[in-house]
Parts: sequence; structure tokens; C-alpha cells
Amino acid sequence: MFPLSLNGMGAVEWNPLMLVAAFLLIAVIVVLIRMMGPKGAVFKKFRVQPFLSGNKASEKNIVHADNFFWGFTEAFKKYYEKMFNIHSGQLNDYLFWFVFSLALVLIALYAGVYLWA
Amino acid sequence: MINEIALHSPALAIAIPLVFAFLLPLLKKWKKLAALMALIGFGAAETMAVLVFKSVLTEGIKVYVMGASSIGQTTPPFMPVPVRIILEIDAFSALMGLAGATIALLAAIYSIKFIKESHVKYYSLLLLMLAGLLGFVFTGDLFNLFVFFEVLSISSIGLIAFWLKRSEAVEAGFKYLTISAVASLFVLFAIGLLYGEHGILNIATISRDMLFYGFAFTDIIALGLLVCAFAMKCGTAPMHFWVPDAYGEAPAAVTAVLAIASLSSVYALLRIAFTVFGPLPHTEIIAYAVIIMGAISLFVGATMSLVQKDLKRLIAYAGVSQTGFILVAFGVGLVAINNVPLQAFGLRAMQGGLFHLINHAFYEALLFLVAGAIIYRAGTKDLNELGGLARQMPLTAVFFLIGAISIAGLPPSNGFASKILIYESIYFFSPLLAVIALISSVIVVVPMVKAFCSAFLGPEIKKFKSVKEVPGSMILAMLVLSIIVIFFGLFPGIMLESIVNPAVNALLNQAAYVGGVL
Repeated sequence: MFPLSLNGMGAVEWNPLMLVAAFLLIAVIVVLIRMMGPKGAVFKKFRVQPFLSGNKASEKNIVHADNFFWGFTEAFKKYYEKMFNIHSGQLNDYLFWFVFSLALVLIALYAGVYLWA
Repeated sequence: MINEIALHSPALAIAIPLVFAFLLPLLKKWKKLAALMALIGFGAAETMAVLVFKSVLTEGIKVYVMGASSIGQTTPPFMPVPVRIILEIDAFSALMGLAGATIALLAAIYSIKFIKESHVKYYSLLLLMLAGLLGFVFTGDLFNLFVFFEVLSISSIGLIAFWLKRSEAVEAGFKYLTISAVASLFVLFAIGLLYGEHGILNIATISRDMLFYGFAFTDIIALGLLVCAFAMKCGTAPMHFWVPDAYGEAPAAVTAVLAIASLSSVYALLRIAFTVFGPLPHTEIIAYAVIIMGAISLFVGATMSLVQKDLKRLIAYAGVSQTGFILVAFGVGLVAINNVPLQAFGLRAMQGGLFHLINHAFYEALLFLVAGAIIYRAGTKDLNELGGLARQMPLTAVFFLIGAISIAGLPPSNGFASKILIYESIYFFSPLLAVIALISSVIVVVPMVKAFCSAFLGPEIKKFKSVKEVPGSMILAMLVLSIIVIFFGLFPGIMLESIVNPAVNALLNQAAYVGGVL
């Protein structure tokens, strides 16, 4: 058993085997429904044929990785511009962030231990 | 005989890969024999790691002293302090060693077909990397921690730049070399400061000194230096920039080992924070620093993963996000463990963090091996060029799906089990932190969907029509990792009770670690 019973959360236990059993049950139901259709239609005629907005997809109109979640990246354009600037690929920048982080941690430690103690 | 081997297993676990690493170049003319010897070396190291793990779980902390008349003689006659090379292995270090040896063995099996040139050089460096990794997590003194840290880093550099014909690989190797050298200098400087203050390098003795006599100014500087150096080496934002470069260019099997090597830096960070410095007030400041770095890693790793078109860089950024989960969990644990009302949540956070560390090591290794399988057959890792590979490589597609579901933390995967522990515990510490973790986890689903759809789904692409499933040895390595990942996911309770809790208890029990040597 995998307990999920912290204070205020109630006594809950996570049992992944139950979830797997539920998945299997649903899969069996899906297969049964599928078998009710015309014989051979699904398995022979349409098998491994991908469709894009109802049209048969081909190599020409494939959705490339760059186009995935375009809306998300477009909405966060400014964030990504800044992130790309920071991720410059320059070793100097890598070292700058390392030393900068170290300086911050040392200042925080010094302030925490000696100034606020 | 078996008892003798078990008795010396900590030393043998380090010595075997080290000896085999230097033995292999002698067999340069016999490539097949060299590869076989390498596999024997990895297998023997794995056996030793299993023996150490089993022994630690049943008998408690294992101490092994080099050069003494008996392996338990920690202090030489007429000397009050332990000055010899001492290996001290508790449940946490044994678990890290076992995970490292297992992944290295699977990476070696995967490499039989994956690596087509310079077998001897490759396996020698990989064995050296394993020796460094095992020494790093097993050692009980700071100087050897540094030595094995260097062994690990130098062999990693050689393997990152393994494909010398690729300028990107050489560049990644150079970047890793420079940043590792700076980190090593900081670690050495910190160790020098601690030695100057305490006059000894043994972790347990320094820890006892801190407990009884408090800390000095130089100790604080050393703490900051060590934490930052190890945080950088485990790929924590904003010091994570080397991760996509190195992971993206190293051979796939190396990347899998590199991932657990980076996680061993998390081990070192925790060993320093919990065991050397203990739950003193200044470690709380470090804990907050770790939480902030972890939270940044969570978000930056997830969002940067989303815009990658290189499959290995995409996985690497997702890995940065997962390291963030681990750090946030342990940071919260470090703060909450001294705070009585939050103690239960602190313990739960640490259980979640440690479980996630182990889960992350295995599913990230699996994902990188899948990426390697794609590169091996399709010849590219550019997601814009890939597509429809599930037809030709159905097993690889299934393996990717298993890894992707786990890294995304979807039920019923092992990633879900460890993440849910982290969410619920950090929520009581800071609901905002839990929200950041949840959002980041949701975002990680997105690049995984993108990678799966781009590489495996969609219409058949002509140039990949002749592509076949990868050879058996590569399938075997991915299959074993998938089985481990599925097992961890389906039986999280067993994993929690049998391996995670003993490791967390070992990390928290500073007195037991000190008592192991003194």
C-alpha cells in the first residue's frame, strides 16, 4: 500500500494496480465496441492511416515539431526571447551564472548567520 | 569465499571497474574480447554493488578501512582520529551505488551494437566513470570525495567528446571540462578550508566537531562553495546550461550514465548538508537557497524543454525540471525537519525527493536510450525530420511511451507516485511552491507529447521506410529499464518501505553515520 494520508488530506491510499485493472477493463470494452462494427473495416481498410483535420495526412502536410503548441510559445514570446538570450551557448555566460549564484548563496549565508543571528 | 567477497565488496566495487578500465587497452587488438571483458567488469561491479546494498540493509552502516590490519579499524593505534582512507556506506549511498552500477551495466549492454568504433577507449572510459561514481558515493572522507569527483568528471569529458568528428561534441566536451574544472576548484578550496579548521578530512569526524563545537566562519564559506559546486554539477538552474550541451552530444548510453552521475552530485550535496553540517541554523539558509534553485529549475527546465527540436536536448531540459523536484523536496525536508509542526511533512518531502531521485535516474536513462535507438536507425535526432517511426520501431515507441509517462508524472507511473508525495508535503510548507511544481509537471507533459507525436506518429516518411527495429542488445537494455520503471510504478509502497525509507532514515541519522567511524 502507498499511503497518501497526511494531516488534512484524509486517509487516502494510492493503489496503481486498481488503476491498471480499470484501464484493462476499459480496453476490453473498447475492443468489444470495435468488434461490433463492419468486419475488417477498422483493421484492414483504415489501419495505420493517419488523418489531419479529416484529410488523409501525407508527408507533404505533416505537422513538424516546430509547429507543435505554437499558441503556447507565441503567448509566451517575451519570456522565451529572454530565455534564449540567457541560454546563449557561450561558456562565459555559463561561468557568470555559476559565480553569480555562488556569490548570492555566500551573501545569504553570511547575512543569515552573522547579521540576522 | 563468498563471505570473503561480500566482506570486501565496498573496495571491490570500486577496484573492479578501475582495474578493468586499465586492462582493456591491453586487449586493443582483440575487439570482441575487450568488449566481453568490459561486460564482465560491469557485471562484477554490479554484483559488488548488490552485495553492498544487501549487507547495508541487513546489517546497517558498512565501514571499510583501507590499509588497516582489519577492515573495521578506523583509527590507527595510538592515534585519536581516523586518518586512513575509509569507505562508509549507509543505505543512501548503497542505493545510489546500486542504481549507478545497474544503469552502467545496462548502458554497456546497449553499447555492444550502438558503438561502432573505438570500443576499447569507450569501454575504458565508461568503466572509469563507474569507478568514479561508486567511489564518490561510497567514500567516507572529503579528499577522496574530491578525487572520485575528478575521476568521474574527467572520464565524463572524454565520453561527452567521444565522437570527435562532430564539432558540437568537442565543444560540449570543452564546456563541460571548463565548468567542471571550476566546480572542482571550488570543492577543493572548500575541503582545504574545512581541513584548515578541523585538521581532518574524515566526514564523520568533521560532523562530530560541528555538533560539539559549532561552526566557524570558514565552515560557512566551505558550505556555500560545496553546495553551489554540487548544485551546478547536478544541473540546477541557473547553472544548468551545460546539461543540454553535454547530454545532447554524448553517445546515448553515456548520457544515461551521465544522468545518474549528475544525480550523484545531489547525493554529495545532501551528504554535505545533512551529515557534515547537520540540521544547524545555517543549513536552513542553504535549504532555502536549494528550494529557490529547485523552483527555478522546475519552471525553466519544463518551459525550455517545450521549445526544443533536438530530441536529446528536449529530454535533458525535462531532466533539469525533474532535478528541480528533487531539490525542492529535499530543501523543504531540510527546513521542516527541525520545525516540529512541519516535521511529518518534511519527512514525507524527503521520502518523495529520494524516491523521485531513483525514479528519475531510471526513466531518464530509458528516455536517453530510446533517443539513441532513434539516432541509431534514423540517423537524426531532429524532431522536425522524424516521423511515423512507430510502424518500423514499435518496441522503441512503447519504451518511449513508458519513459514519457513516467517523466510527466502521469498515473500509474513511478513518476506520479514520487511526485504526489512531493506535492502534498510541499503544499503544507508553501502552497505557491506546490503550484509551481504542479504547473511545471503539467508543462513537462507537453514536450513529451510533442516528441512522441513528432518521432513516432504521423504518416510514413519515405526515407525511413527501410528503418528496422534496433538490435537485441539495445532492446534488452531498454526492456530491463522499462520493467524497473513499471515495477516502481506498480508497487510504490514496496519501494517506499524497502529502499526509500531506509535511505531517508540513514540520511537523517547523523549520529549513526558519525558512530560508524568513531
